[in-house]
Amino acid sequence: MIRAARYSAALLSACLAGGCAGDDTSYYNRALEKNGEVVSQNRESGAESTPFPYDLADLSPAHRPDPKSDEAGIWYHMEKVERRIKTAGERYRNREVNAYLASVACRVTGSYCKDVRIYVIRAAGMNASMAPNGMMSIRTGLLLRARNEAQLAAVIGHEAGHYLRQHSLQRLRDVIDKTNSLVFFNFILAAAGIPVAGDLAVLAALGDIQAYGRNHEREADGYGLLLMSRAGYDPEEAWKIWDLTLREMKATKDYEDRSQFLASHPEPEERMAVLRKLAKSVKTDKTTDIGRERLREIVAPIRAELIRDELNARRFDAFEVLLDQLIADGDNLAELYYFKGEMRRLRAKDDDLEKALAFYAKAAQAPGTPPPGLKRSAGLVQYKLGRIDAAKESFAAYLKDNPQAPDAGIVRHLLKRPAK
Amino acid sequence: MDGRGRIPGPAGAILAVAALLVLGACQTTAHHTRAKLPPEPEKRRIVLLPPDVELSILHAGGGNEINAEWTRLARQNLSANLAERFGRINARLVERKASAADFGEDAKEVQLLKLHEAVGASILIHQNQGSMLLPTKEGKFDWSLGPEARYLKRKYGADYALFVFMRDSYASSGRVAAMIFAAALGVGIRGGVQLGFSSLVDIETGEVVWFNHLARASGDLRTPEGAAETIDVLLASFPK
Repeated sequence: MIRAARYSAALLSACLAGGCAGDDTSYYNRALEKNGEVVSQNRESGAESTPFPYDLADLSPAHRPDPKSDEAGIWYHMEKVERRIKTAGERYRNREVNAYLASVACRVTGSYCKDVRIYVIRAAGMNASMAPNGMMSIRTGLLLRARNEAQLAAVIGHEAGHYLRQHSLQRLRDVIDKTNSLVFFNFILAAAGIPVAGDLAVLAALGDIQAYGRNHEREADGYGLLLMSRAGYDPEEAWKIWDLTLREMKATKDYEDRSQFLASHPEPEERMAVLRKLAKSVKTDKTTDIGRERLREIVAPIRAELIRDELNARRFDAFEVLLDQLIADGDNLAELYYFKGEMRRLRAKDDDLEKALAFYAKAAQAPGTPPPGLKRSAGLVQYKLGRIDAAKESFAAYLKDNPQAPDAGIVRHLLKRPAK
Repeated sequence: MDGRGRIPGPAGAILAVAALLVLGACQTTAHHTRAKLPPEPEKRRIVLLPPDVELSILHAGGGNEINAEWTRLARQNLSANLAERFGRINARLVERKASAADFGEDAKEVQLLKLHEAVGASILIHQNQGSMLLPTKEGKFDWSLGPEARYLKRKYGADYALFVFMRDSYASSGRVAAMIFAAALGVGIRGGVQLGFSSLVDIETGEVVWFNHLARASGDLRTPEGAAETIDVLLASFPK
C-alpha cells in the first residue's frame, strides 16, 4: 500500500513531466560487469548499469522456490504448462535434434544444465522462450536461421539469462505494483475531476511496463554473450544472428509501422550494435568455436520440412530473404531452387507460375537432391496453365519415381482427366 | 525470445466468460442426462482426475498472483471432501496415484484431460451464457468426450471420471482499500471471486452425464469447512 502510494506520486511527477523510468541500454553490461569481464572502453554507456527495481540475485543451481512465496505460484502455473507441452502435438520429436539442442544447452548453461529443460516446438519463425521454472522452448525455425552452433548458443544463453535473473518474477512484481498504483492514482484524479489524465497515466504505465521488459531483454543479451563465450563459443556470432532476422523483418510490410513504445524487445539494430561492441570484451584465444559443420549435419536431413513450415506461414517476401541466404550458403541447391518455385506456385501472382516452372527446371539441374515432389509440383503448375500434355508427362514421371507416394492415387486420377 | 509464459488452452476464455457470469449474478444451472447412478456398488466407481485448481491474490490494480500454498491446501481439501462425500452416497472414489512422472508420460491421459478442458469450457460458455447459446444445443444436453474415454476405464477400473476446474481469488488489503475508495466515488469494483465447473463423464461411452458450474463472490477453499461448503454448492445436483 505505502509503496503503491509512493509510486503513484512518482508516476504523477515523472511520467506526466514527460518520462517514465524507460529504456536503459546500460543493462547490456550487467552480466559482464558482475562477472568482472567488462573492459570499461567497451561499455555500452559510460556509467555503471543501474540496478533494476525488484532486483534479484542470480539463481543458484538446483534452485526451488520457497513454497509460501509468489515465486512458488508462478512455478506451480508453469509446471502445469510444462505438462501440457510434454504431450503437445506441436512438439518436434526428432531424437537427433532434441539430443543435439540439449547438449548445446548443457554446454552453455554449465552447472545449471539440469535446471534447464529444452522443448523443441515445430513452428516457423526464429523464436525461443524461457519459463521461470526452467522450461525453455525453441522453435524449429531457429535451426534454419542460425548460421552455426555458436549462434544457437547465443540464443540459448539469452534465454538462460531470463531464467538466472528470474525475469518473470521481477516482471510479475513490477506489473502488480504499477497497476496497483495506477488505481490509486486514478482515484486521486477522479476525485479532482481530471478524467483524461487518468487515461494518459494508463498509457504511461503500460509503456513503462514494456520498457521494463525491454531492459530485461538487454540484460539477457549480456548473459547470452557471457555464457556462450564461457563455453568457448566465438562471441562475435551473437550479433551476427540479427543480420538475417533484420533483413527478414524489413521484407515484411508492417515493419515500418511497428511501435517501439509498446514493443516487447529492443530494436534489433540496437541489439546488434551493442552485442558487436561488447563481444570484444569477452573474446579471448579460447573463444573460437563456431561449429558450423555440426549444425549443418543436424539440419540437412530435416531442412526440407522446416522450409515447408516457413512457406506455409505465407510470409512470402520474408521467405524469399531466408531462401536467398540459404542459397548463398550453398548446401543442396536443388532443394532450395525447388522451394523458390514452390513459393511462386503458391503465391500465383503475375507471372509467378511461369517463374515457378523455370525454378523447377533449375532445381532439376542444380547440384544436390531435389525433393521427391518436384515433378508433381511442375505438373500442377502446368495443369493450371492449361498445358495438359506437359502436365501428364510430369505426373507420369512423378509416379514412376514415387509409386508408393501417399498421394499417388490422386495423381493417377489427375492423369485420367481429359484435356479441357 | 521472451521470458514470459502465457495461459495455454481455453483457460483464458473460461476466465473471461466466468467474469460475465459473476457480473450477471447468474444462477447456477446444472445439466444432466442421468439423475441417478446405477444402484449396484460395483457400477458406482468414480475416479477423480487431477483437479485443475488455482488460488490467487487479487491485487488492487487487478493483477492476479497465484498462491502455491493456498492452492496446495485447496487441492488437499477438495480431494479429502470428495472422498468422504462419495463414501456417503455409496459411490467409491477410485484412488489415482498421482506421481508427476506418470502424469507427464501418459500422453493419452493428458490428451483426455485437455479434451475435457475444451469440452467443459464449451459447455460453460455455450450452454450457460445467454448471448453465447448455440442453436444446435437448444433444449439439449449431449456433450461427449467420445469413446476414447474408455482408456480411463481400463486404466483405473472405474465407471465414471470426475473433472473439477476451480479458480478462486482473494482480495488483497490494497484491493479492499481500492473497493472502499471506489465505493466512495460511486463506482463498484469487484473483489475476489470463486468460479469453477465440474463434470461427471461416463467413461464407457464418453458421455458427459452431469455438469455444473459456480461463479460467485464468496467461498473459501483454503479451509476444510470452506471447501465442504463450495462442494455442497457445486455438487448439489450430483446424480444420486
